[in-house]
Amino acid sequence: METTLFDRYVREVGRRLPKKQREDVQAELHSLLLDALQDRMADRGGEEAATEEDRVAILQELGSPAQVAGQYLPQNRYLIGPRFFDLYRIVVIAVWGALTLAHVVLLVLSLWGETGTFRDASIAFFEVFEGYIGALLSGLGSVTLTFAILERVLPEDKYVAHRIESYPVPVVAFRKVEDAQILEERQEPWDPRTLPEIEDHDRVEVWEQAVGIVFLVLALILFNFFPQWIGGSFVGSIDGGPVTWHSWPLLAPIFFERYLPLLNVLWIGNIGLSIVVLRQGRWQRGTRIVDLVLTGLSAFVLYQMAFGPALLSMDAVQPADLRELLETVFPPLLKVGLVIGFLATIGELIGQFVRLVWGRPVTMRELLDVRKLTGT
Amino acid sequence: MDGPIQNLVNELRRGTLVLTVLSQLETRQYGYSLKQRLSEKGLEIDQGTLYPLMRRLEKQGLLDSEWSHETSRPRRYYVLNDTGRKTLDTLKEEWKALTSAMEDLLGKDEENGNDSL
Repeated sequence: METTLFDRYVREVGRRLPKKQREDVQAELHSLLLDALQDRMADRGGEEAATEEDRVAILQELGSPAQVAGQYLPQNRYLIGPRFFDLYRIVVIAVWGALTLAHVVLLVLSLWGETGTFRDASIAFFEVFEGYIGALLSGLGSVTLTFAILERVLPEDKYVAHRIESYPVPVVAFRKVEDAQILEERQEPWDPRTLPEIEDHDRVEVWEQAVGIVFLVLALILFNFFPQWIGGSFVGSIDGGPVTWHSWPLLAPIFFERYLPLLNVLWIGNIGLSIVVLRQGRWQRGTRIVDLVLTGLSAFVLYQMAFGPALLSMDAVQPADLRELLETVFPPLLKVGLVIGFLATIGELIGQFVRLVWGRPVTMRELLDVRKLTGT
Repeated sequence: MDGPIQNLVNELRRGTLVLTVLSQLETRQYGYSLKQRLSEKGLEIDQGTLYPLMRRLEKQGLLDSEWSHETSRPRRYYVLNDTGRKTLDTLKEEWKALTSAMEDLLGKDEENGNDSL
């Protein structure tokens, strides 16, 4: 569906309003914008089609989304008002992200020395989780308190927040401005073309799902029916014998006994999910929940594979010096790869949870782009 | 007009906003029609200020509103209710008293100014 500047504008205003009044204000604002556009067209004889320039002029006259949303909010009855709210949200996301990342790292470090049993993992997980909740309450509480104090201490319209450009991460300073400057800054026309696009987070990328299905089917066939193909091979002579192709299986029997059934469940589950999603044409709440569960199971399997019994078997490798070399290099490499995979899956899990709860993903780009978010 | 002076003018106009809007809502209006009506009478009010103000007045119990689907697209219409009418009457009285006092004050200032010349 094609979206216009009006759609993007209305969305940005609504994003800053309480949920209770959002939908109604958005509907009214959209109707009023169309009235203004219709009037503008009538002034020109009503024969030309509306252009983007017409919409830009109307939106500039109305004011930036932050200004208009501020007018809709109850005056002086908030803990943190529209002046600081965008900034507050960015800091909350940054603190939440930093604490989450720190605790994920802490979790991995505390699991590193464990034996890989479910009981040990559960104890370590709950210890870290308890610390995480405490850190969140303390961190976010401090941020909220700081902003609530700023809201009351800094006189309204006398201070503006701005980002210090020389830092690569959002570092924000408050600058006192004189009345004349405030007026000047307010009168400076904002550019509606800079409004963020409305992304369709529930759209299904057909090629992405199709490629995923193909790879999962290949993995199912390979690991279940041709496990002998997963290994190493070389051309050469062993113990003075003829020069020929030699090969050896790479995966230990425990992989097939313990992990392959779990991987089969995951792969079949993901194939089924992709087919359902393709048939429905859009991501829905039910499919997102199934996706979340499957990602959680992936994280569990990756953890088990990283910290459980050795997955690789080098017993069949000849000659002996090559076996020793491979035994030294391969297992640590595989463990590092699995730990990275586990961390990435945890990150994906958090992202999926955020999307499920808030209806859209929060990107690092948004986190870093203070100016775009605050409209300053 | 210089920035600080423009600020004072804006401040002065802001004080009359509620009375201005209430005075035009004896008959039902939607946001853009009210903006046009005020504009025709020589009063330009920012749309970004007018539309939220109508909502606030409704929330304060002075206006009633309803969505109308009679036209090509749905519009939200606002109209004075009983409380709004009583408030308008009170504000009108205040306005008359204020303008009378101000005319008196400004008239005297002008006279004083003329005397000093």
